Amino acid sequence: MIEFKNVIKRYSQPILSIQELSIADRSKIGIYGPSGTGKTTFLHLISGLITPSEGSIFVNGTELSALSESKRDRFRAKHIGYVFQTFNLVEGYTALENVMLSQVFLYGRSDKSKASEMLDRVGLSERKNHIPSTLSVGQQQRVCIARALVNDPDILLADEPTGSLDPESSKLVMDQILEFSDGRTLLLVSHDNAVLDRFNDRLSLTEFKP
Amino acid sequence: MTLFTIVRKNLFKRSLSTVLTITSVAVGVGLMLSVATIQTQTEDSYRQTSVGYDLILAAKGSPMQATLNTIYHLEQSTGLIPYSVYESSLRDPRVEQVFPFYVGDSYRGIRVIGTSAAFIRFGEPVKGRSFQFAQGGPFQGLFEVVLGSEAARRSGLSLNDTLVISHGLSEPEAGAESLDHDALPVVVSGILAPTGTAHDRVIFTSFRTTAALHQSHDHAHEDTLKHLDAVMIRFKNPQSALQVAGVINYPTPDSPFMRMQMARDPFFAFKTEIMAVIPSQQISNLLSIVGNAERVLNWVSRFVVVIALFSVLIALYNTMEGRRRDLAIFRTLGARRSTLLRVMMAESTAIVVVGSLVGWVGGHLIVATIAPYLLETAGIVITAWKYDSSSLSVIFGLISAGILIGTIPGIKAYRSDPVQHLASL
Repeated sequence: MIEFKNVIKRYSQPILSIQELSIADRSKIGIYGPSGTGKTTFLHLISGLITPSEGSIFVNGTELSALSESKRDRFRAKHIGYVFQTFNLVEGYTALENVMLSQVFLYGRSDKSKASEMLDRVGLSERKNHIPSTLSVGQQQRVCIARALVNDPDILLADEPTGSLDPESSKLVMDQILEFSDGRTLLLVSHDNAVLDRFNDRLSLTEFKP
Repeated sequence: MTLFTIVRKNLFKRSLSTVLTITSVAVGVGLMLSVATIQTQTEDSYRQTSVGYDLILAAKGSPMQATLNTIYHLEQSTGLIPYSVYESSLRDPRVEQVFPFYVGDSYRGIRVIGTSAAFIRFGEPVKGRSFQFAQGGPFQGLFEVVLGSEAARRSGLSLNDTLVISHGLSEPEAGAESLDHDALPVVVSGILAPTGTAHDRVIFTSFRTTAALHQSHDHAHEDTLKHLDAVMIRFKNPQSALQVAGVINYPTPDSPFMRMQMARDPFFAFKTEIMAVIPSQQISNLLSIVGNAERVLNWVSRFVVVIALFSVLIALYNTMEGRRRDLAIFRTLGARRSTLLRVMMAESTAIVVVGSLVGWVGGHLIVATIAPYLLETAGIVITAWKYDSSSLSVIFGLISAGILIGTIPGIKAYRSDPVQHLASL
């Protein structure tokens, strides 16, 4: 369960204002809204990368803003997987090593067989030892999905995951995200109606614009 | 994969910068350690060798030259002194030991020192330590020689080998006539154990042997049994050295009474021909001269190390802009700020550790390369791979400095805002 209570997030000016919002476990929600409505900020708040200026956010019963930054980092590593529009793979690291990074930051060391299995599941068995610049954008996004899921998180956050992909890759990536989010909460931000159409539940952030 | 793997991969990602930074640390450490090693061992070598004599009596000239010639087997003799100086010294009740010194012959560029058996028996090449034989024993009679350890190594001579001694201190130039005492070859009766002093690189024989060799051929030189190059004296009471030095070196007083008093001393008779040199004073002067140059070198090398440490800081700091993206990604994956700090510190530590180890090996290689030259030209025995706790202290100090230096870019990484840098991706 993800709960927002009287949350306001402001930088130089208020970005988001959410009085009350509850997202049930294992929900699959497509999030949309025009630019500047705070979609990325919304995901960052849930991940604990940032804290609200006012109010409280509870994730799985834990009030994130009450945790120290170090504990929030730990919480994120354990409970949250993040898929980005621009993939954010680390150059100089192979696909396998990029996936293992998530394990290192949670457990202090990697489990190569599990990371390798995750890449097998996203269809990259033959590309495990390739560095990101030698992979297609679709393959890079699949590495990003494998990295987000390798620690078996409860919540998967996806910020425009198909934004940089062609329609064919976009469909493949969405298929995989939906398949692997079974049993998890999925919050996916998109501008693409074809993507949003795949969600029964949708949330417009326009209503939370202060 | 562990955090160590991340550190290693980060360093390999910027391999050129990493190699250059490691090299700068290695150069600094190598320079500092080689200067420190040579400085320490040079001082030890000079100090050790000076022990065992209180006074040198030599022909008038430079006291430093006489010291270098008799103790370090360097330079030319200041000239010849009457053999009777040696005889008078032997009779003097204040004297504990007298060592005659004649130098003028060599074997393949290795000096042959004519002295007495007493020098081998009672001389102290190092304080409190007499000569030890690795093989054989002292020269007993004429035409026997004892090799210093380095002289044995350089000449390739073994026990009971024969050799032909040449007149002059260096090998004749190509085409020049060699004045060999070839009619009378001499035999190696013993090889000394290493002392770590200049005595290791010379050949000792009885001064009577050198006299006999010279009497056997017709090239022009003075009879060595009438002359010596120097006499080294150990007194029963070291204060006597000052007394004798005063008699020999101070001008004859105008007062008849004072003159009469001074003339009672048996060395007064040689006053016009010889000078008295107190070696400990000359060694102090020498160390002071050498020490000044070494101090400058020492500061230069320390400065190089400081510059090298700054280069580590600059190299890591300059990479921060390019790494913000990676650091932001690490944070979204759950890396703590303290983890990033540790990674940065580990990187600088790894650079300093590898640089220090390369510098340590390089520094000792520099010493090993210079050591034969120093032995040849200055008579200083330097051991390149000798254990030295101070060099370990330097290494540990540098590693500590490396860890501290890593904190500066580490804190920058610690403070970096992942959201800000994710937004700019």
